Amino acid sequence: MSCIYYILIPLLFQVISSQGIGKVYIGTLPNNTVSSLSFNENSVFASRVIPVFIENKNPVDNTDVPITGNIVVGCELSTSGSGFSSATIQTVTLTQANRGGNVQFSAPVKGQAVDIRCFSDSGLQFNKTESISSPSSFTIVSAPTVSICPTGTKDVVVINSQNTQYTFNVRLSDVVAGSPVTITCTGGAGLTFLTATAAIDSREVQVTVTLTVNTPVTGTCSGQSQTGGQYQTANSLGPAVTFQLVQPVVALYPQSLSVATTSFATILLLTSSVPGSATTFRCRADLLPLASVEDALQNPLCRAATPTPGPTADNATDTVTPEWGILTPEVNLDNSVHHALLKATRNVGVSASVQENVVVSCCNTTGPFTLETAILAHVSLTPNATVDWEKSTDININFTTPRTIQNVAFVEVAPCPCDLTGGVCDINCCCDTDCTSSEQETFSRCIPYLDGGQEAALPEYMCDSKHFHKEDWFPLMCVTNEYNSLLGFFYQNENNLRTTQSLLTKVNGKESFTYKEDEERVEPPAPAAKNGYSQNEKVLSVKTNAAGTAERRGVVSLPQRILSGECSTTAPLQYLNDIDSDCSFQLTNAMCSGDSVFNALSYIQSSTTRDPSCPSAFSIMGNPNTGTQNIAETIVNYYCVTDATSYIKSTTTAAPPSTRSLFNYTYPAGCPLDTCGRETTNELPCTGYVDGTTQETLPPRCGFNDHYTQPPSPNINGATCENAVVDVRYNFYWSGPNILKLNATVFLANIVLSTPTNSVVVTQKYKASFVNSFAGSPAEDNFYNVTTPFSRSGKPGYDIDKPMISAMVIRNETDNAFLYMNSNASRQMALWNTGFDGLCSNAGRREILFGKDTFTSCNIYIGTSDLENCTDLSKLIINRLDNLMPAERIGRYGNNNPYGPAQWIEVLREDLTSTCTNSLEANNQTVLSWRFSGFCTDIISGINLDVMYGESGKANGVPTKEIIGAYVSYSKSTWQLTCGSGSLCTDPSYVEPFPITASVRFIKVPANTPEPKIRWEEEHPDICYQDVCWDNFIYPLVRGYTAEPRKYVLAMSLILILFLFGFLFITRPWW
Amino acid sequence: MAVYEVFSHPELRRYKTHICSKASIILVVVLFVTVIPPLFVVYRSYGFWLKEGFYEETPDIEFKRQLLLVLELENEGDFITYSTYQRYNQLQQQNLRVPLIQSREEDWNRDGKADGLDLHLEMPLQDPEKVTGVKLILIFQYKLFRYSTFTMECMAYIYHDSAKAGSKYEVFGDLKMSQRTPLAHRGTDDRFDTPVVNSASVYAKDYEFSKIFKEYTARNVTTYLQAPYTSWITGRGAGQPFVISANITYPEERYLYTTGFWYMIKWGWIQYVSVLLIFLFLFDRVKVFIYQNQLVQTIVETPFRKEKMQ
Repeated sequence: MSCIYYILIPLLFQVISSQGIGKVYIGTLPNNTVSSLSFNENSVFASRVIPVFIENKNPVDNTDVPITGNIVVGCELSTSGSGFSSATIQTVTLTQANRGGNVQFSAPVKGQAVDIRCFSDSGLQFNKTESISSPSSFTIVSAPTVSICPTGTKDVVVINSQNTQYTFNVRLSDVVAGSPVTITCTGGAGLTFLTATAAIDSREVQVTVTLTVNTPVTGTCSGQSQTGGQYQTANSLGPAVTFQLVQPVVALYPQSLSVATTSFATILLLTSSVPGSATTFRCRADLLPLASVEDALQNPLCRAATPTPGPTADNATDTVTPEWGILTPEVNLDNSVHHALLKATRNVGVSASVQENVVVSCCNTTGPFTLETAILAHVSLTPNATVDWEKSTDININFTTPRTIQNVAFVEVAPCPCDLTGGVCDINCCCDTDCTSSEQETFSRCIPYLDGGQEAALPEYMCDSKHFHKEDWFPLMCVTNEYNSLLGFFYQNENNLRTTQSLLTKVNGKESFTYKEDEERVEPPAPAAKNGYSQNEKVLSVKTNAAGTAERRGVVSLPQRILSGECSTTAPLQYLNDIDSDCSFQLTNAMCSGDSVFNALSYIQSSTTRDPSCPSAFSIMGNPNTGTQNIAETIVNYYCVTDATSYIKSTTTAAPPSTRSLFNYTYPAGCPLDTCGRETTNELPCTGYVDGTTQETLPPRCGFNDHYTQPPSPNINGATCENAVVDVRYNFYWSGPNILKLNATVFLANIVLSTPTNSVVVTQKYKASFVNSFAGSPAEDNFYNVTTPFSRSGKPGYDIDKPMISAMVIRNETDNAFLYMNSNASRQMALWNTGFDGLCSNAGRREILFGKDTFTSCNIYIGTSDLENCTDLSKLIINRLDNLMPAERIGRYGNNNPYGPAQWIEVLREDLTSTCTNSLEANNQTVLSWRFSGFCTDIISGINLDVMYGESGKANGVPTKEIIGAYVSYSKSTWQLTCGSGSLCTDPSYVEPFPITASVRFIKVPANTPEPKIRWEEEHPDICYQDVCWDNFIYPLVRGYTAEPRKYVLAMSLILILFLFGFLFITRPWW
Repeated sequence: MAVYEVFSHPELRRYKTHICSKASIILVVVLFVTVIPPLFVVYRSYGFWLKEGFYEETPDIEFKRQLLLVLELENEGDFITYSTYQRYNQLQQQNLRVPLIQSREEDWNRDGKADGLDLHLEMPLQDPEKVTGVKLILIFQYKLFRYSTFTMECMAYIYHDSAKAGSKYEVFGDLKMSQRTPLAHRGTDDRFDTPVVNSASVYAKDYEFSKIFKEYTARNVTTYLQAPYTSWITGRGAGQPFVISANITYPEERYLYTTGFWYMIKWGWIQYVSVLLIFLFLFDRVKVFIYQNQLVQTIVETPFRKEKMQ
């Protein structure tokens, strides 16, 4: 057989080399390959070509071989479906003479970029598998669109007046190139548009419209390039916009008032300008009974009849009708004057206390609109309150200089202290000269004390004082006296604070706090010297106008948790600060509309969005200092979740497990096991380890997801909220101080709305991560040669709370030589990760974090049948526990070379052979008899890992934590069903939970082995027991004393000693 | 005729010797035995150095008119909040509602320091909104003057959760200080005069309660609201606001402080001398016994002649 191969293979080779292998390239001759092709949806047929050329080379010496015959070249697109660029691609025939050509395509459909590969399958020289070109990107860019941009209200153009021309702005999504674009607008009956032309290089054009009806009409605009196909009427039509006449509103302010004077003022305000000439308003004030007030407010009286303004009354006895009037009842408001002051006065004097309801109303008498308004003023008048001080002549108060009060101790300033009101009789004030004798007769009593004044408080030292807290000696020391000529105790005369200076002097030196919000709402602009984002700075966004310059700046935000778990929906993102948060919202009808967090428009949009062309969305600023020149490209992919249950909070609780449940594992058939039930080989299918990571499967892409169309707002369809955002992920690519790119993913879903009986709580998830686009040389400890950023568990030693790295040794099968360390997730040490049911069969693996002592456990549910076969049960548990902690080596440092065995320490493991073989119990009849009655002794029910680490040095001032030893031990238990006296145990399906534990403990050990310690030695030699150790005998001088600076203590001690010697020297007691 | 002592006065007897003699050595030994053992006796009987001390003072507390309020509503994710921090309010656009805040700090005992805070806060609510929880941070300025001039910004945290919707929450309590380390006995101490809430931040994470509390409790000196008697009043009427009323008193407190050098020396001296006096007395008798009986040889010099003495 083999000889045939030896003959055939060179023969085949010769055939191929003589004919050559043909290849197709995308590009132009002689050898210019093109990696990306981009076409406009509107591009003319002639320009819709994919340039290709072919080559035929001898694979042996790479020389050209002539091409025979006609070669038909076609192309295929990698992906199809809505949202992706697509086209009907034709073929081109090429020959040796004409090796380059163009593949034409028709029916282009806009969408995101797809891969295109060209190939040929003709003749002997070309076949599809050999000739197919390397992929190039193929994009059909959306046709430019034309949209109306209302300035004020969204989607509404407000026109000032009927039958007059009004201009509004129309935005083009692309700059006009080649030839001018004719903008044609159409609308419903009553709208007449003039055709406008957008000049070359412009993006905005003004269109004139005339509205001939006074009801709202919708209209829309489209563009058509005069020559060429940049803009085409068919696909440039923008969204419809409503045109309507301006609705002016008139109002009186304040909207309700209560006064106690005979005149008051209100302001008549026109909230928007009325087209045309000035509008005349007629106003009146009416005194109405309470019953007719409501009606007068709804239907202002000014419309009904012309009021007669009465003359102003000087005398309270005059009788004039009407009672109330407006001083200037006719006012004109126009585009320059928007408000007027109206003064309402009472034409009649007040003779008795009255409560009046005065309605001020204003109506227009000219103009096309009906404008009217009314307010109510509650007027409470008493005769005293009606004194018009402005008419007073004898009172001449100077408001600018303070009045000086003479020293009241010597000058009688208040002969009658109870006479509080001038000109009016004060009740019970007998010295008030305003009171007539008949009034005095009605007094119940006179206000006591001298001239009706209040008595001075008794000082506390007086014997008559009733104050609290009298000292014991008070009766001996108190004072009794009698004032015979009391001058009085008076407060000092304080002047009013009339200047800012005196005010400041008064409060000077006293720190006082006030309620205020004095933080700057907007941060001051960054200093110019800064060259970009710095860490934790907020990520900025910018909105550009038609000219491409920055119109508004914003902050990129995502909902985040704040306070105690509440959500702030507009929390800014910080540069290089990854977030992973979620918020729960009740999905109500209100949340499903407008600008809620469920609206995809409240998140970032693709920078290529052009349908509609306005309003333009915010883009990410790549660098906060360079403005619009540095806008980071943003790509947003929308995915439509078909099953949104993972985002909706479940309202059902699962019942506790009641069926037999062990592990999610069965022994692979025909594989050798050791005495403890462990697989002895590490080869598939006998290995118990499942390597490889599970990739998250994304839901299907949304149909509109072509990077050109704006995402839809959520809408209510029956009881469902459609297109609600449930998941947002931002991936920023950064380099130095710049954001280069943003890849965003938004999940939309159709979710059932909340009803009063069924509340639907949706958990929205948000993620923002910053990925480094690193272009420098790789790190020297990049042992796995990865090109993406990777995280270490510390450098060089472990950091607390970082994953502990463990691995299994992979050896050469033949000579058992060390190959490398396999530290895949399934080969590492792990702990149980249980869910709410606590079942081992559903438990996952939880990675071990360095420095965190952790205890986990899961439950197996077993019954009598399992407990009658203890050996098998024990073996299965050992198998699973060893599968949970399979690693043979643990990395000593935060990042370990998998090819360097020196960086790994060996894990010691407790020897279970004796337990597994039951060598001890084999002869013990009691144990054996127990084992057969549902009573299992020495069941391995847990695994414990002890990790010893020490500080083996310092790097950058931080101690290096190095793992220096590890030991795996097993816990043993005795298991029996505890069904007690009932008959449950007789049921073979009866199960009980038994816990399987897994724990890890980190023990800090000295880097050097310590001397063995004698038990009776003091455990803490540094403690000063009962404060009488000799170290602290000179306590002020020891380091533990920190109340005074050390040099101060030393100086004072020296002075003390000096004094002592001086004393001894002078007294000389030894002399 | 009886004899009585009409007068008496001590006489001074001088013992003289060489510097290198038994008598000198005895004197030096007795001097050491007199002076040194009292020191040991005092020291070994505990408390020789008064390392810490207590003092009482009425703190000068002032409500800074800063607060952060969260009202939890019944529905999932619904809450109402307000703070006196503009940047925080900016973050909470949809959940922000402005309450009526009234406060008064009264000085009842006329010592120039406020004795308590009466806070009344009314949050307008719509009728379907049901308040089930309250969280309120009040910010105070705390000052002590008696020993060290101690200044800090501190807070009181008022919180309550109830399954039943409330209409009013009333709190009566004291603003107490909690010390982890002693205060200094002199100088200015403004280590903790830092903002409790970083109101300059525009980021959500700076307003997480967990971060605020973590940073606050990391301080060695903090305050807390001791208010075991609170009342959650249910049954909010139609159109009524939710009311929080807090009566917080600022009590006089005992503060632990580290004593100064001279204070320790003074109390050490007092203890030492009181024991030294006993030793002085005892060893004076010993010396008298030794020298009077001439156990060591000395020259005795008396103010009187020998003849008269005998």
